[in-house]
Amino acid sequence: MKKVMPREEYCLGCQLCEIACAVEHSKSKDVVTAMKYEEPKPLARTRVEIEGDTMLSLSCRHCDDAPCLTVCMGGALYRDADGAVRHNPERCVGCWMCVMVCPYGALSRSADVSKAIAVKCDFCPDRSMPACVEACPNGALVLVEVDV
Amino acid sequence: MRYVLIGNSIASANAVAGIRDVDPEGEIVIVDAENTFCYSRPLISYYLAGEVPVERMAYRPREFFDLHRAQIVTAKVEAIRPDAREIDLDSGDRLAYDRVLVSTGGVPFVPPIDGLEGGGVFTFTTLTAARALEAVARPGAKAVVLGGGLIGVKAAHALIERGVEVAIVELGKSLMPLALDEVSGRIVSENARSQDIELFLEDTVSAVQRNEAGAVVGVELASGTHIPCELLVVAVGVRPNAALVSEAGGAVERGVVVDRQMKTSIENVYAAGDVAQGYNLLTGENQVIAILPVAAWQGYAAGRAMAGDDYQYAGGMPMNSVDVFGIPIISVGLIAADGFDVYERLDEDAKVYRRFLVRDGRLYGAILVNEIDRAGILTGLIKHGDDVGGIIDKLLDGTPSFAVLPKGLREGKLFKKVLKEWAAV
Repeated sequence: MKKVMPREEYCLGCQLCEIACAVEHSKSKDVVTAMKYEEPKPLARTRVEIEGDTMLSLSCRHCDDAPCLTVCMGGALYRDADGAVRHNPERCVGCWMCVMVCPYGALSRSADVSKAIAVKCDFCPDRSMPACVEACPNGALVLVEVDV
Repeated sequence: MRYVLIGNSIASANAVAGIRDVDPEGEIVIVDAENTFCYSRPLISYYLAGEVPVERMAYRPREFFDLHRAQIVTAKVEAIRPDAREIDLDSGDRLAYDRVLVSTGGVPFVPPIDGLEGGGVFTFTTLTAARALEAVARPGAKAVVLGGGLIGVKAAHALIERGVEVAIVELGKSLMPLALDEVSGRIVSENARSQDIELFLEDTVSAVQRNEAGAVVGVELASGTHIPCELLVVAVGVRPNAALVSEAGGAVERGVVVDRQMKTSIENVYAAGDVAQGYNLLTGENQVIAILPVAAWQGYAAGRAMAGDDYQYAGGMPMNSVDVFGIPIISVGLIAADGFDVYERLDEDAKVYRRFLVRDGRLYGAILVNEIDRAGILTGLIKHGDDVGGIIDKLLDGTPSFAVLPKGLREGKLFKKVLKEWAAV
């Protein structure tokens, strides 16, 4: 399948990918409403890492042998028909087994204290181009056919 | 080819996937004594707490088994007869197999204790056991949980959610002594006490006291302490349920002895999950590691091997993610410090703690308390034996990240199979 790959030599750490991702997963889908006024605040599922001069945006690799999917006790994580690994919040119990085994650190914990659940990249099922890739002005995120 | 899988378990479900990745045609029959569905054992505490209904306990839905054409038969397996390549069922029927997987899991270990026989005493490893507890765990009841490990902590949590008053008795110096070191053990134990959970550490139950009617009225501890209670949950450990293999003449040590293809010492007989003594990639030895991820990975490897593939089990290691009365912890790999350099960061006020075991630049164990985000990056480094000698402090100081990894290591992990395609971008 096609995957989103980071190109760190082009990344400036601007975090526009994070904003585009959060907006795509917001209720309003409007950047100002989503980022300034929505409760709960929409979460980005990609994460810009910055360490000195090293910068890259990292999200789920939708692995062929996804360990998160194997260890998910609630059956919340599943392989969708298009090959993406997706998450059903209804079945998530917040056990963090996926957080424990994802080698890319691609699953986060939602901030909802009453029922914290895992949050991850859903590969933008409603778009032809994932929001993070489209938002990157530098070509530091690209959609390529790979075998990860 | 007929594959018979004994136990409708996590290992079996993954064996089905493994078999079908190699053999789309063969017949798959799952035989299980009581369960008509494949549920996640760790969910029983969520069930007892009222957080997850039975309908949501399936590890894989019925459609998964239908899709892979795996037939499920309800029967107890009495024996494996390798010479005839048949198993005997309690119905008197026999079932022929070409390959058989033993994934019978573990059974709770119940130590001999005076007065244990009778009502009011429970274990906590199956849905049946959780339902038995559910029937008696009413608000205001008083329970003693013997064992402060993973199962005991989860049982106690669920009982508290139901309004039961809980005391935990643990032989070790802290809660979760097998998954935590002294510092993290102290943090979670102090936190439990701050929530009015009674903890009796370095102690054990020596006798169960009953009234004339035979009902439990309390327990007496080795220290002489008396705790009044109506319920006792015994959660001191689980033993491999390996009788089918040993009675068939197969090698059993602590668990069923298996090779890297999960094959037992008996031809055409495989074992996976809590019953098996599989490869530990950190120690290089075989060991029972009774956790869901290991059962899943072993089951998948067994399935492929049974179908004739040369796939080998990569090996497992201990790993636990658990909320201990409000403190999330993740513990991966080895715990005992002997022979390792120990690196730690402790923020006592925030109850945030990280501890790594390192030898020759390689990470062998990680304990994270309260801040567990992106722990899987560490798990990956431990599993692959990566050289992280130069970046230990950076991994310790904050949330683990890829950006702190050496460039070559990072690119290898991100692009190891894609360099060719990458060059074309």
